[in-house]
Amino acid sequence: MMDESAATPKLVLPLTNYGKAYYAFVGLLLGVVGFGTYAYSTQLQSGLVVTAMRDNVLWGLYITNFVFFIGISHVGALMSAILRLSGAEWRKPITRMAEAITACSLAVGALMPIVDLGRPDRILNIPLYGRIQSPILWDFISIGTYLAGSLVFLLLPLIPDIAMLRDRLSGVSSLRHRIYRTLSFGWRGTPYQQDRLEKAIGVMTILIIPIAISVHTVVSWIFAMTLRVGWNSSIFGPYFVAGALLSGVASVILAMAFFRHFYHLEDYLTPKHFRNLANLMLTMIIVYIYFVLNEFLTPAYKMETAEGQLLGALFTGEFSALFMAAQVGGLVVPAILLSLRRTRNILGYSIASMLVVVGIWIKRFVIIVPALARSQIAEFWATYQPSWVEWSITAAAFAGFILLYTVFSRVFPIVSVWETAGISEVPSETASPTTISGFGFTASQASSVQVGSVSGEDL
Amino acid sequence: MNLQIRRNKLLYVALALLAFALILPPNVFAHANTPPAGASEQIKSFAVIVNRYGFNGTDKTLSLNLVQGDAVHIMFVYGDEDLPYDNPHVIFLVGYDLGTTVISRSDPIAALDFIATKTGTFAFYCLVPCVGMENLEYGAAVVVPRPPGSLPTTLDVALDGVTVQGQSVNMAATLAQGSQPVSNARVDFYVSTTFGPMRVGRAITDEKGLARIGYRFTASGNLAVIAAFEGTESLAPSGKQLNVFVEPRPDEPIVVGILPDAMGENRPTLPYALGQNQIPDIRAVGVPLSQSLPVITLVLLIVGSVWATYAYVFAQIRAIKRGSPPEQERKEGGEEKLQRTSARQGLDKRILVGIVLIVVVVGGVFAYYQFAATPQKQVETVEIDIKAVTEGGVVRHIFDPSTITVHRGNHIVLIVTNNAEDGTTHGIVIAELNLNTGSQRSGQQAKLEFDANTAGTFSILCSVPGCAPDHAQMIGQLIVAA
Amino acid sequence: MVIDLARCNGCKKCTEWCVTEHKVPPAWGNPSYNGYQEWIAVVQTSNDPENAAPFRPTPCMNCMNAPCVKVCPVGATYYNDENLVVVDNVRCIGCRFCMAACPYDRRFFNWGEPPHTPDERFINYTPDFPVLHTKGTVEKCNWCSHRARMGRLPACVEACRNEGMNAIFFGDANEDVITNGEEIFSLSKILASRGGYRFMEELGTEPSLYYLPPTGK
Repeated sequence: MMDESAATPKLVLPLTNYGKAYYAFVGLLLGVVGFGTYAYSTQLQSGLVVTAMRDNVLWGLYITNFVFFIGISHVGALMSAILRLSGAEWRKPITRMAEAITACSLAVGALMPIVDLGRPDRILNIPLYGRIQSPILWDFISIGTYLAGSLVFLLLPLIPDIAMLRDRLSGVSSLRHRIYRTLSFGWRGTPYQQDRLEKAIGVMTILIIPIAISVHTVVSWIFAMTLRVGWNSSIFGPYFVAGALLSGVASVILAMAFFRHFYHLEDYLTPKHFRNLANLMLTMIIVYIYFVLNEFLTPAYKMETAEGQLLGALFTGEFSALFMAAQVGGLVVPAILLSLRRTRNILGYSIASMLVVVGIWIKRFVIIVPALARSQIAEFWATYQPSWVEWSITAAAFAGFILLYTVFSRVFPIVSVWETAGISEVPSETASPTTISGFGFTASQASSVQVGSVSGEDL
Repeated sequence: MNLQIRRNKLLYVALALLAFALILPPNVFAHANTPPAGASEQIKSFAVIVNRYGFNGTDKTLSLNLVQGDAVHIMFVYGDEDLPYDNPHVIFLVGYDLGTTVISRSDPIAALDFIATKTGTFAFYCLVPCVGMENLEYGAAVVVPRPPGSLPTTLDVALDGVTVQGQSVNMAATLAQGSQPVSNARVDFYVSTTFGPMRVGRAITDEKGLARIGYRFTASGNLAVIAAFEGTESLAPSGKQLNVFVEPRPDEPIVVGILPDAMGENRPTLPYALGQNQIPDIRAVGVPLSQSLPVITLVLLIVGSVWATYAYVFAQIRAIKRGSPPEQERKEGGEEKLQRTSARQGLDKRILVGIVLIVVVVGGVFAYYQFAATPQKQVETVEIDIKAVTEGGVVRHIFDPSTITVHRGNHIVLIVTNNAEDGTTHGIVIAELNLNTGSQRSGQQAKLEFDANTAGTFSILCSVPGCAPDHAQMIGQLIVAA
Repeated sequence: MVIDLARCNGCKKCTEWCVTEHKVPPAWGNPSYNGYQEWIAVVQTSNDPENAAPFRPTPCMNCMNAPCVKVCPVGATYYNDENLVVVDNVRCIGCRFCMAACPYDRRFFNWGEPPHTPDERFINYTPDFPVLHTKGTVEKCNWCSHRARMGRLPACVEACRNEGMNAIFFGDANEDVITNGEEIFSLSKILASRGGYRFMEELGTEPSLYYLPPTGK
């Protein structure tokens, strides 16, 4: 039984109101992705020699991007699942944002190792001849499982909203309408269906958390299962998971700020949400600093020869600028920004999040490349200056991620409509006073509505 | 006075005759320094008259020519008996640092006995002040080096102990020169390896000419044990090779022994041309199934349970899609609704269980094929006897059976028994497959194990050249059927 | 394999013969021998003129507990029937995990397409003799396992014998014998008497390559 849905225009407005700015933005992103594709085509033709990777620094920007994007993808598990489980009601407007980040970043992140392969035409050798002893196979299995799980986890709470769009959104192309119809799975809001949905979401909530933790642990084991100095550490699992959670939270804050501003969602993404997430991020920064201390203080105390050389390169040598940028600029400065009263506003949070995201990316680079450049055999030390192909593909990866995310937010409501029903919208001056195309309601009609009473909200 | 001189001359002659008479077998000098055993048999004797005019009555240099290794006997005879007083002398040989006893009127004969080991020119002179001392300075013993190889030696080597891989044996070598054992000589022992002879020990011969070392065989198969003596300046080098068959350790198949010359013309060649890969593809996963099974099971359980849960969720979605029971029924009674939902739940549970089972079965099959050891080959055991048959008075040696057929891909065990009653030694060699049993004495058995990877017909020949007059006619066939 | 550090004089003939024998691909900017990958690299460990053994030839260590074999996702690197680690370049997907895992840095990647000579194309590729080299796959020294099947010594061993240094030995641990083409020694005895050691033994990779330190004279 579906009650009449009243206007929640701001949430659905972006789905049909494509302005010039949107097209320009998408065009720009497509351009970057296109250029990255061209760069990749040169790599396919000539081989990986077009990158700056060589026999010593054999992994560079591609694997950095891989670890980074898989790291960001943990936000879905944290935001949606953990907050859902803990019964935090304030998480409702941001769960879908987080889950969407997960899905999009997993899609991009899973492509990165394929870009890095010397023989991508033989990718089928992995399932055909795969060896379970290899950490790459573990990656394959866990990332595949997590991708499937996160897509399902994204889809499930989306079903009632898609049903609403199917029923009420007009003025969209028939293809889009067909998509809505298919993906709504015949949702009518009946108690039976609600019951099923509730069960499914409940199961996925619990299941997605260990999967997410295992994913980045397994990714970290690609490094920790080797004998290289700097990688041969037993805390890589929790270390990477902590970094992943941190970068995920930061990316959600950035997304929230973006959507709040551009989609005018001030009613839904209130300063309280930002504050809560900022506190969460501050906590994660402190946890991550704890791990960084463990990672570097213990070898620095002992100063074993090879470790000492690596630490020297990181702290005072050629990688010191990057290392300090990642640690100070990426951790300490945001922590300060998040603590000072003067900067505890949305702008401050956004800047801190941006610093964290960039800092974590640099940190991934600093974990991977110096350990390769400063291997245990001093005669084979090398340097690494990424080439234009690698930078283009990196830019294309970020652009692709943003593109996927933006298109998602324009096809599906980025804030869960049925879960946030009950939040009344303040009419915004920017909303058109006339009929909003597709919805048949004026902006002034703002009565709260129950879009299907789903008891699963209290999960 | 005339009579006195004539009497002296007679004495001289008598003494000279006596001296010549003494160049006789050395047994006469049993009391004197016997030349040590193992030295050359050449004994050189000299008689030298020592008087106040010099050696042999003259102050010209007296050179005694010796060859290194000679047993030298120099007899010094007192020649100053015409003096009214005693003129004792003591002759000293430089270099060998040997001195005679006092040569005087009462003891007119003294001798120097030594082996001329050192080469060079060594002076001898009168050591004590005497009349005519200045004339007795010009004696010289000139020792020249013996030309090498001039004395042939023989070396014999024997093993005592069981020649089994991993067990120690004693290798003994006997060095003799003619019939005399050579002592204090260095003998090297070698064992053949894939790369050639490797020195495994060195020993010094004792007084019986025997040198021994202990050695533990690390390889098995047909090996050669070689003893070698380098030779010295007087002794010729010599060596001896002994071919042995070392039994492999009980649980190991025979390692084909390659006789020395592995780097030369007889080195084994590939059974195929390089590039045509007929080597089986061994992708040793490194962990046998028994060890990895617990881990695989654990991984499969974890991953399988996750995907099974996904399947449950998909089932829920499908249920959503299928829709709810009609509204009237819902309004009418909860019981029916409950029945229907519980029926649906029952169906869902069964679907869930089914999917879990499929996952586990598929995963198990996948894991088995991934991790199973090399598929068990069949083992074929074939017995070959080597027999001696008499046909029309002529003894022929044959393989029985002469044609053996085995199947490709199997693990073949060939048991070869030498049943030739005439006591001849034989063995089997299949050159194309690099198989060789070495030599089996009558009644002995050998075992060859190999994988029959290549199909074809191979010749079985006898591995002991010269075993019998019809050695070249001993031919059999091994057919590896595809 | 045993390498006598006292005898190596850093002439790099072993590298030269290896490059010729396997038609080794270019190094694409890495440390190289005349631009080719150094499958056996002669590393100068010391500039001190008093140092008795400043050069260390470093081929693949052929570890018995090889980290590279463990991490390959597709089984492209494995132990062949002679217990040598070889790479199957028909299966390799170029992920370079084995290169990251090797603590001795003894694997090389074909970053681009290596040049080919016409006669190479008549050779059927086998992992024991990895000619034709292809772009995007991993290469390494494999102790000339193609030569071992022919009963010959690896190219580097023969090169060192040819030069007169006789520093590189190759042999069979089961038979306990090694040779450099001229001298034949018992492996266990020479390791015991010369104090043979393995490089970075503490990593637990169980290399099959031993080094003999120089004896003080």
